[in-house]
Amino acid sequence: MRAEAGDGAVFMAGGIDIVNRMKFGEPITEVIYLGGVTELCAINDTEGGLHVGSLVTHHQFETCALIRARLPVLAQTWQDVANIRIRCKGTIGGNIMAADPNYDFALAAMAAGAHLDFLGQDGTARRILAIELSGRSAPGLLTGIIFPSADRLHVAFDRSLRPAITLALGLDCPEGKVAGGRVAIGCAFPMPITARLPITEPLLPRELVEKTAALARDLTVLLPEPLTNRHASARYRRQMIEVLLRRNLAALVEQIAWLQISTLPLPSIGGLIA
Amino acid sequence: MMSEVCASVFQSRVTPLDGPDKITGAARFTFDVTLPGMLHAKVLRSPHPHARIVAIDTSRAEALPGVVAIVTGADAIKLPDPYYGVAIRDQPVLAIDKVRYFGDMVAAVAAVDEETAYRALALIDVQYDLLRPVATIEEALADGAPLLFDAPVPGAPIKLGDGVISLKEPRPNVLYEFGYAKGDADAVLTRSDHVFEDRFRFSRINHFHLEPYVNVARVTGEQIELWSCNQDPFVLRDDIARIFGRPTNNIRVNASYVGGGFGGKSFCKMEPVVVLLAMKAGRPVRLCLSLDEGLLTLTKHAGVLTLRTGVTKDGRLTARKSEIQLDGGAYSDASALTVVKTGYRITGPYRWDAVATRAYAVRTNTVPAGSFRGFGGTQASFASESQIDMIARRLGIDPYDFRRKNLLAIGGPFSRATAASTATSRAVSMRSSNASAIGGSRGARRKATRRAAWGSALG
Amino acid sequence: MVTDIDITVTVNRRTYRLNVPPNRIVADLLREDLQLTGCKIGCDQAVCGACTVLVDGLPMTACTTFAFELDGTAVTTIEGLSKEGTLHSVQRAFLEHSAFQCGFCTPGMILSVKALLDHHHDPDEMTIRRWLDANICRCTAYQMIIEAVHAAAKAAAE
Repeated sequence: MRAEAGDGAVFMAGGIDIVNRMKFGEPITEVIYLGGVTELCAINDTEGGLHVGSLVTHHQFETCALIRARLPVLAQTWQDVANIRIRCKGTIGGNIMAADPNYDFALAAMAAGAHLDFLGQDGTARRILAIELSGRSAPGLLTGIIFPSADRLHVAFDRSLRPAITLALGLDCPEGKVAGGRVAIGCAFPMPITARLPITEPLLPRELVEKTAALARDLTVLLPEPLTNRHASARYRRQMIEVLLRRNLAALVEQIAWLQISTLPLPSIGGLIA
Repeated sequence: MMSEVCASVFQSRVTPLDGPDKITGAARFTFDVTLPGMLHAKVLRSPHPHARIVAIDTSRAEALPGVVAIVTGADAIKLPDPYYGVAIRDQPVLAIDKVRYFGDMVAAVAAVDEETAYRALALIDVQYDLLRPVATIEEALADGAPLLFDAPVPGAPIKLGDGVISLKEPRPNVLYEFGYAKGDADAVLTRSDHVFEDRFRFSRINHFHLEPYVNVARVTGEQIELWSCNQDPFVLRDDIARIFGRPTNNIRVNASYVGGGFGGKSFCKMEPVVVLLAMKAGRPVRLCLSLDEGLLTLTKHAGVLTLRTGVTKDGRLTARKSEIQLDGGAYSDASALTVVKTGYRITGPYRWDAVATRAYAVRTNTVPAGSFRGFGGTQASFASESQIDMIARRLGIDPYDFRRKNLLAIGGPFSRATAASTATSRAVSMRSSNASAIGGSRGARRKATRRAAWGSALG
Repeated sequence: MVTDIDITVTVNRRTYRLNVPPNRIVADLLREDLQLTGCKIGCDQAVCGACTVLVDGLPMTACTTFAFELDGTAVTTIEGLSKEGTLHSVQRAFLEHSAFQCGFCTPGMILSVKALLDHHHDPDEMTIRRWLDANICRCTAYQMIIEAVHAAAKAAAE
C-alpha cells in the first residue's frame, strides 16, 4: 500500500504529529492509518526479549504490568513524558519515527540496546539495532521494539535538564560484571546522539565506580559540538552532558553493586535508576 | 477584626451568574457565532520586518473558486479614517505603503471556507522593497537609524495636568514621551548620603488568551453589525464609527463572553479589517486568527527602566530620577497610555523630596505592544520595588521596616508637579489603599516581609 | 482513492452513523455536524487542551484527531456530563469553587478532571497537577481548580 501511495503518503499511528504537520502546510496527500492493526499494539515477553508493538501508546507502555516489572525505570519515566492527553494518543513507534531530537523513546531504545523491527516495502522483515537508526533512513514500517532480557540490562533516564539535555544510559551486566553500555543524548544535537561506553573489559561494579568520572570525560570529549538555541548554549550543554553522564553512571553502577549484595526492594533515590 | 470581616467575605460561596453556562458548555463566545451565508477570512501577513510595498497582485487569488472578496491597503486608504491607535493613531486598517513588522497585515481574503481562504493567500503576489529594520530600542534610537514613519501621524498627545510633559512624536522613532518633575531632583540627589543607580529590564509577554482573536461582521446598507471578542464594545463602536464615517447609531457591537483578554482585546485589532471585508463581500464574514497569529498581534511592553534613587544614611528616601524606555513595537496601540502609567507609577507609594521622571515609547520593527494587565504598572512596580529591596539590603535595613519608614501617610500629599490632574488624584487614592494594606494587621506584615525577602534573595 | 468513510460513534450516549470526509477533524465534527459547541479550539495544535474530549474514557485532543479514528468508540463531551438536568459532581465542584473565570478552557478542563477521577479516586496534589499539565488555564492560576478536584473526589467518595 505504501508503495502505491506515492510521495505525499505517510503512515499514521497516533496522528498528532501528522495532523499538526498538515496544518502547517506540509503536502501530505494520503494517510495510511495503522490504528486497526492489532498485532502492532501488543506487549509480549518472548525468548528474544521484551517485544513492544510500535502502536503501543505511551500510556499503555507506562501502565503495563510487564513493563513496570521488567523496565521499571522506563515505566516511571514515561509517566512524565508530554501530558496525559498526548500519552493516551501518541505511540512509541510514532515517537521514534518522528525523528525529533527532543522526543524520548528513541533514546530509551538506543540506551537499552534494543532492536527495531521493520517491515520493508517488499514485505520482508528487517531488524536493526536502535543505535543504528539515523534520521529518516528507516528501512520500512516500524513494527516493534525489542528490549533485551532485563535481568542483564540496567537503565537510567535523566530528563531533569530537559529541554537542554535528556540522557539515557544502559549498562549490560552478564554474570554480574558490567560488560558494556550505551549512552543516548537528546535535545542537545540536531539528531539524537548515541555512543558506546568505552568499557574494554568486563568489570565488577566496584571496579567501575572509580572510573566513572574518567569514562564520562572520555566519552563527552568525543561528542560533536552541541546546539546553541534558546534553551541552552553549546558550552552549557557540553559541560552538563559530562555532569549528567558521570552522575547517572555512578548512581547506576552503585545500584548494580547494591543489588548484587541485597535482595531487598530498592529505596527511592529521587533519580530514576534500577 | 478587619481581617476577620475580610476573611468571611472571601470565604462565603456565591455562585457566579455565568457559572451554569460555563460548566455545561452552554456559554457562547464570539468564537461560536455563526451567521447564515457567513464567509471565512484569513489574513496575509508581511514576511519582512520593514519594507515598502511596491505592488500587490490579487488576480490569481480572486480567480480561485470559492473566493468572494479580497481587501488590501488600496481598499483601506479609501476609508474616511483608515488609522487607529489610542490618542496617537498610526496603525492602518491594512498596510498601505509600508510594512513595519514581521506579521503586519497586508491583505485579507473572504472565502466560502477557511481552507479556500488559506489557499487564496498563497496566490496573492506582493512585491516588497526591503528596508533596514530596527529590532531594539538601541537600534531605533541610534544616529541614522531608519525611520518607521516618514511624517507625523494623526492624533494628539494625551492631555495631562499642569507641569506634566506629554509629547507626540518628539524625536525620530519615539512615539510618545512623558515627563514629570517635582522639585529639583538633581540637587537633592547631590546632597543625599547615598545615591543608587540600577537598571531593570522587562521582557515581552504575550497574553495568550485561549479564545483567539475572532470577529464576525455583517454590513447591510447603512448598518454595521459586529460580533466581537473585544473587551471594550463601546470604545470599539466609536472607533468603527470614525474609521468608516458612520454615526454610532448605525453600528451595533454584540459582546459575548470573552474567552480571556487581559488587555489584549482592548482597542482595534482586526475588527476594522473584518468590517471592510464584509462590506466588499456583501455577506457576513468571520475572521478567527490562530493563537500563533495572536503572538503577531500584540504583546506587553518590554522595556529598560533606569532608576537613580537617593537615600539618607538612616534609610529615608530623598529623590528618584527615572529614565524609562518602553519598546512600543511597530504601531501605537495603547503605548501612550502605558508610558503615562509607567511614568506615574515609578515613584511607588513613597514620600519623595524630589522626583524627575522621563518615560517614552520607542518605535521598533517588532510586534506592536499594548495594554496587558496593569500596562505600565507592572513594569514600574517591578523596577521600583526591586530597587527598594536592593537599597534596604545595601543599607542593612529590613526591607519591610524600610518601606514603613518611607510610605506615604494616608491623606498625605502625593508628589505632584503643580496642580493635580484627574490622573494624579486617581493615583493618590490608589497609593493610600496600598499603604493601608501593608500597614495593617500582623498577618499582612508577615506576608509583606516574606515577599520582600524573596525580592532581596534575587537582588 | 479518497472517498468518504462510514463511521459509527456514540457521542454522549447517543449512537450516530456518519459519513465523513477522511480529513474531517473531530473538533469540527462535534462543533459543526453535531452542534456540540462546548468543545472549544484554542491553540489548534494539541498544546493547550481546550478541545479535550473523552474517547472511551481517556482525554484526547479533538483538534488533532481525525473523525475516522472515532469509529467504534464512545465519546463524551461537556454536554454529555450532566444527566437529565443533574450536574455531574465535577461540574458542581467547579461551580462551588469558582474554578473558572472566562470559561474557555473550562469544558476541556472539566472533562480532563473527570477522567482523572475515573483513574485515580483520591489523587494527591502532585497527581492532580501532573494530569492537569494537559490543560492550560490563563485566568485562574489553577488553585481553585485543584480545590474543586479535591472537593469532587470527596463528593464521589461519599
